[in-house]
Amino acid sequence: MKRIKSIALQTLILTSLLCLAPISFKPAKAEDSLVIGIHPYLSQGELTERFTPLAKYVGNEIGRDIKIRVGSSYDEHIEYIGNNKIDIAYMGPASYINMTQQYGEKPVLARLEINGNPWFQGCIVAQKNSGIKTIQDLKNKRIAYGDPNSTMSFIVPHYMLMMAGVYTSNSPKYQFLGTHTNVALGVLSGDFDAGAIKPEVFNQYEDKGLIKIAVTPKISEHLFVTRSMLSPELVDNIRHTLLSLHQSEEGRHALQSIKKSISRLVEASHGDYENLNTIIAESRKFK
Amino acid sequence: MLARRPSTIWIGFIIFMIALLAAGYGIHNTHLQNEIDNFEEELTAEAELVSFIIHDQLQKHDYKSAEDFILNFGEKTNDIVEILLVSPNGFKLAHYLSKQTSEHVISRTINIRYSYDSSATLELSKKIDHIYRHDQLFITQLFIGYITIGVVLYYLAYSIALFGKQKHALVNENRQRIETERQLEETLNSLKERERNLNVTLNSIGDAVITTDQNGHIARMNPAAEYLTGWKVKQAMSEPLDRIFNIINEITLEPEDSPAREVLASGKLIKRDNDVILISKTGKKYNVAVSAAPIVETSEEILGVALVFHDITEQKRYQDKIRSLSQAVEQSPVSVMITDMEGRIEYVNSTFEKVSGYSSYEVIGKNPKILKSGQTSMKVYEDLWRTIKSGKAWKGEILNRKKNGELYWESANIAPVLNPSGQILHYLAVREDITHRRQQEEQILHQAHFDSLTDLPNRFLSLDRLSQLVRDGQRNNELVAVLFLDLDDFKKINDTLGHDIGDKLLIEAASRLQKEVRDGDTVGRLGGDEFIVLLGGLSHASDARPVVENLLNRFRDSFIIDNREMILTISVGISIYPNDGNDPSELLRNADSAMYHSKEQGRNTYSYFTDSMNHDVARRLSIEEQMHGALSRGEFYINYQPKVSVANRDIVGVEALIRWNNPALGDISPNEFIPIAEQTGLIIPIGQYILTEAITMAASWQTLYNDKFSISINLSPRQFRDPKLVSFIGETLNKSGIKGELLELEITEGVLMSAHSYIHDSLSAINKLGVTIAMDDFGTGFSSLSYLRQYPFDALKIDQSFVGDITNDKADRELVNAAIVMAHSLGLTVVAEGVETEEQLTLLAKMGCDVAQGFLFSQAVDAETIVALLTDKNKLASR
Repeated sequence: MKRIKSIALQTLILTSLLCLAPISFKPAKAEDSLVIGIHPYLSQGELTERFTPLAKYVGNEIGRDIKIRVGSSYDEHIEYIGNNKIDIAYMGPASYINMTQQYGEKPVLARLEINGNPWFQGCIVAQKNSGIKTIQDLKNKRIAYGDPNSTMSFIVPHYMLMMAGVYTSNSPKYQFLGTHTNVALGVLSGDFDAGAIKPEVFNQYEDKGLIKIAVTPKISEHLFVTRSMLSPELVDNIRHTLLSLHQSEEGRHALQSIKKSISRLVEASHGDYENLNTIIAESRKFK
Repeated sequence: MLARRPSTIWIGFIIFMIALLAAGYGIHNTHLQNEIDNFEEELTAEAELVSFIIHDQLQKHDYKSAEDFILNFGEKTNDIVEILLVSPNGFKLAHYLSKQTSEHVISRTINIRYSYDSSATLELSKKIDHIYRHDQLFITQLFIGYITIGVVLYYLAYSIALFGKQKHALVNENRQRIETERQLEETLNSLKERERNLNVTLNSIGDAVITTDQNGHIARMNPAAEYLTGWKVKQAMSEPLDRIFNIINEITLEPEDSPAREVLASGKLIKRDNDVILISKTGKKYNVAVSAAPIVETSEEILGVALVFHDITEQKRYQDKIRSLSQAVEQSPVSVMITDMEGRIEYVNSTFEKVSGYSSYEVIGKNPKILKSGQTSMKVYEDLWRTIKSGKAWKGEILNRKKNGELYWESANIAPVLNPSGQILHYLAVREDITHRRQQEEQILHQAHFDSLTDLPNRFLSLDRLSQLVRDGQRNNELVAVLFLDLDDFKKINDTLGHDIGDKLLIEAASRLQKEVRDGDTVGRLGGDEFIVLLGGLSHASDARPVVENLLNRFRDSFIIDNREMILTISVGISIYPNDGNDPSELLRNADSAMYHSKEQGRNTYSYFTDSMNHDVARRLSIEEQMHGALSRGEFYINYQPKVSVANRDIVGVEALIRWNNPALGDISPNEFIPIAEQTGLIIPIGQYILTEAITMAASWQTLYNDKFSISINLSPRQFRDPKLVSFIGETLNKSGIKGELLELEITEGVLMSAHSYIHDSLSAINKLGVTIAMDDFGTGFSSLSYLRQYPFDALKIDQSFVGDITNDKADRELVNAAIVMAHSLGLTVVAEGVETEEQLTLLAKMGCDVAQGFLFSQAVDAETIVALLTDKNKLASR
């Protein structure tokens, strides 16, 4: 009996040791730094400089070192967060949707609020005296877009025109002029009948003779997400830090070094991007 | 006399002065006009350069870069007052406006056409105040000169007149004094001779000259020096040179020592011609080139310093301008090359070096021919030289060769540079590397015309080739054959073995087809598993026969894909130009109809098109057209044929049979519309309609008349592809409340032959619902026993074609008997279809057949009639 007991005891001890072994490594791992990925919308140096205050601030708050990684391309950035190779990602709305369509949803931390709005709205413009009043008037007209990857200067307005049945087999092909400014100038010069631009550019050129003939649906702003499988406590911790950034001087500084016009970060969920998701999915069907 | 003389002199003097002024005015005007003309040429060149550079940016609609260039050019180039780029609707695409104001401005306007319907106007304005300032100075100098000449002449004339009148008195009174004065004057003159000679020399030198004594104090200055320093000789005399010749370094802007001190110390000549700015007394700044030399007489003692300098401000300005212009050209993102009239390269920019791989020193002095790839046609070069030699710009695309031998496409804009009289001085070539764009275009062109999987011509190109063949046939009075090929049962391969294997099979099939036709014949892929073969230049329609027979033979050999052996056959339809149509789409349509005919003939064969096929196709199309919406319009309805127990002639159930009455086509047989419904997929909603309708009806009959009353419904193979089939049946049963065992689903062997796992799964699931399954049309297919064993069948329905002959055909009788025995041994109920006579029924009863249906009892009838039959069995036809 005694012998049986001791075997049982040995087994228990051995099992506990085996169970403890992986656990005892965990704290060391917890000290590891987190990586936040940024898509390369500016040069690497510029982006590192802009996001360093945020990485430091959030890192201090959650007690982890946060490193910045600038993706070599938009696609690579999407692939990195999609395959959980980085911990946090800052993403544009279209990239986010592309990512979720390929890799599924990730925990959403927060989205930007720019001058009080957590969304943005592009516009479709024409010349004031061109007689074009609605997007229905754009059949067989020359359309200028900015960049094929740009939400406001192509994806959303293109979808609107497509749904309005503006493109016919006789339509002249629309063109990409690279930037919002070129689109505004192309419309004003008369080379194009209409174009899609962001409101800032519209405000800049409105008094030169541009009118809005349509505005896009409200598209949710840029956002931060985390990789799958980050511990829920950590995700909550980061989210709470991000959402309360605007309440401290240092936090506000971190926000504004990313972009002057960011007023704060606000809560967001996948549902906020559902309209863009539909637009991108529907647009693909037409291709 | 005396009184008249001065007035005569005055009048003469005034006339003389007016003549002088008039001449002066003329000289001045010519001078001014020349200056302006020169400046205008310069302006034209600049405007052309700007338009040349922004042309490409506008062509790409990169308005912002064009604007940036204009603003930068305006900023960096001297004297530009305004540059305006305006689109035809008046919109200012770019506007550079200098901060400096100016009174005199000249402008140049150039129209830039950057696409067939887009243009913009460039207006470049420069100030020419400095020309007028120089002009004012010129007038002032002229005026002072005239006054001086006038005054001198007046006194000369007056003296002569006075001398005449008072000659004697003067001689007498002053002879002695004059003599003394003459001697004195001679002495003075001889003394001043050297001084005057020196001054005249100095004054006539265009350069400014200052001399100092050995202490570095001013000794002499000529007028040019007075003008530049702003000091008059009298004021400057004996002043230290540093004060008068006040200079700073152009780059550091720090004051500099005058070179005089160094010369006095060293006795050596010093020259500075690049970086010295002289600040005049009034604060004006001049870039000057200065040289300072020691003044040494016979003794080697240094007596002073001679400083000679001149204004190089203008020259510097030009240098700066040329530098900024050449920087703009040098940094331009496009290749720029300038050659002389003989085509020898004089200049290339860094983009050229980068693109071509040649350094500028390797190409300067050489002919641009070194870039020739030998692949651009001579015509292009001839056109190029003809255009530019006629003084016009040439634009086109050329394939060139890099130093490393790589070929590249360039979009070139080559223009002659003309002097004002229209002579060609240089050629200017602005070129852009468009290799990438050309490659993309070629790829897009290929993609537009060729199928990406098989690389065969696609539908578009195939039809284009067919049009060409038809035109040739028309011209040469020849026939054209269109072979429409469809791979038999390809869909099954895709569905069962996957698209990868399907794709590999298509590639292999395409290559077999290509090997079997002549070199000039076209094999194209129309899409999916459809191919086309075009045979031109035929004399008889039958000429296509050997080709198509060859093709069919070629497909006899099995295909081996991924170690799997497969047999694939083709069905071919042939249409002939001009017999079966005159245009490609008609020929294609008719070949398609003929192909359908081949399919109906049992596949693996070919058919020539005939007119009757057209009718079949038209009928098919109208059925297909009418079938859409027929369900919602309530055109379908169900008839029921009673199934009767052979033993006691009780109605044990009914078979539900779909019927369609369409307002346009009338009654359409299920044999005709069911295959079409299967192909279009409409069988799914139609099948659901039958299930719902028949089961609901059966439920009511069960409650009212007979709770063992069964309902039989046919399921088509296509319905099994509907993943919701089983759940739909389950739900319908639940809703109606009838027991599964009273629903019998009839399927044919065809359903089982595809051997898809989903069929097996569906049948098992249906069986689990308790629903019974009957093998329909037994005897017409393989009549395979193994199917009956393999699947959970409950009943076997013997096809009417056997039942019809059992009374007079022994073979059929034995076959039916055997089927009944076999079915019973497997525990299946046997139903005989198409029973028409009492003799047949008697025979079937002897054989032990369980249930019968047919005209002997009733044809398929509507629900009301069934109710009547159920209430009174005597109404069955046989009674």
